[in-house]
Formats: sequence, C-alpha cells, structure tokens
Amino acid sequence: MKSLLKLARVCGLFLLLLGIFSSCTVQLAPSYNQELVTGITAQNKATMEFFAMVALGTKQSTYANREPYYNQLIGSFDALVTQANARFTPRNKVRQKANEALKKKGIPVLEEGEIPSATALERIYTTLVKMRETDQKQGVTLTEVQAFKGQIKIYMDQALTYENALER
Amino acid sequence: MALDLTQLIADLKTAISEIVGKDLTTIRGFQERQLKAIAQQSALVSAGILTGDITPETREFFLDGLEDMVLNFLKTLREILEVTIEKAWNAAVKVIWSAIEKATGVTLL
Repeated sequence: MKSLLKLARVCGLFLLLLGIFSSCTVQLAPSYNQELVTGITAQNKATMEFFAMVALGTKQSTYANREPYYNQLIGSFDALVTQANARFTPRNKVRQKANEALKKKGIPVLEEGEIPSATALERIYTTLVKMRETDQKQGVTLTEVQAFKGQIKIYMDQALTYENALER
Repeated sequence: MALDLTQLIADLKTAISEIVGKDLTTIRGFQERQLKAIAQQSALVSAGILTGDITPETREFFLDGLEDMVLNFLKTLREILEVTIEKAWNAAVKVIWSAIEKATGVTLL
C-alpha cells in the first residue's frame, strides 16, 4: 500500500511537471546579432574619432570640411537603426498584460515591438543630425561639442549593453 | 526510479543562481555607468545654459535629451532583466527535464 502511494505521488509529480513545462523553453527578447554588434562597435570608434577632431568647437566658416564626416556617420547610424529593428520580436500575453497595467498607472512602457537598442541608435542618429544643423548654421561651441558627445556616449552604452545581453 | 527532490532543488538553485548572479553584476555596472553619465550630462547642460555656451539653438534639444535618455535607460534596464528571466526560466526547464529523464528513463524532447 505504502509503495503504491509512493508510486502515485511520483507519477503525479511527473504529470504535473510535464504539464507545467510542456511549452518548454521561452524566448522573451530578440535574438543576438553579431553583425549588428560589430557594426555598432565600429561606428562608436568612428564617432569618437570625429569628436576628437572637433573637440575644441567648430566655426561655421569651415563647416564644408566636416560635412562628409557628418554624412558618413549619419548614414551609418540610419542603417544600424534599420538593422536593429529588422528582427523578430517575441510577443507574449503576460508581457502585454503587464504593459497594460503599467500604462494605466502612467508608467512608460516599450511600445509593442520596440527594441531599446534600436531606440538608442535612433537617438544617436538624431543627435548627429542636430549637431550637423547647428554646425552649418552657426558653428558648435566647445560646451555644445561636449554635450553632443555626452549624449551619444550614454545612448551608445544603452545600445551596446542591451545587444551584448542578448548573447545567451 | 523516484525523482530525487532534494537533488532537483539543489540543481535548480545552482543553475538559476549562476545566471542571476552573473547578470546582476552586468546590470549593476550598467546602472552605475548610466546614472553617473546622466548626472554629469545634466551638470554640463545646466552650466552651459548659465554661461551661454549652450546656445538657444541647442538648449531645448539638450533638455529634452536628458529626459529621453533617462526614459530609454529605464526601458533598457527592464529589457535586460527580461533577458535574465528568460535565461533563468530556460535553465530551470532544462534541469527539470533532465531530472525527469533520469527518473523515468524516457527521453524528452
């Protein structure tokens, strides 16, 4: 009798676990993309080299010399945004419910399909566009150069940390 | 063969602790870097506005930028935590499958 109860308990546990884990493994975030990480790293280097070139501020009169650098960086980041967004983003009901609850409380959440590293790369793109516009219009002061650089470095850290975290 | 619950709990603890411990170190480092950099950026923008070195052309852009980068920092942090949950869940499932296979002799996919 005792051994029968023991067997029933083991079978019960087995069925319970089988039921709970029948869905096996899950994917809650996009897949890791080595090519994208390599691209971001390369553009990070190119951007910091550009900032080293303009570290003391710029004059509007010499803008034409810098325009090709701006265009190259802006084009590269635009391409990286597309590359970062062009990935399968898992959707699940639990996440949707959690987002709805957070939204009701006024807490900002990621829009469906939004990838934080893609957002960060898009902000780097807009920062460089703003810097180019300012340079073309009036030149950029030393403090503005530092502020543009600081903003880009913060977004770059967000993009790279997230993308590296995806390497499971 | 009966499933060894004590061993299963110990294996689950090891698998999950390894993942969470490693990821929390990354998260802590990221959080510290971001908070320090955002604080420095705020100080720079604030001082630049006071001295006029941040011109009216870029003032609003940098002020909006501060708010936006904090928001994306929090979103990034949340998403990294979600990756950690995914990894911990998958590790736990693997350990449980393995224990069931061992106890029953049945190969599970």
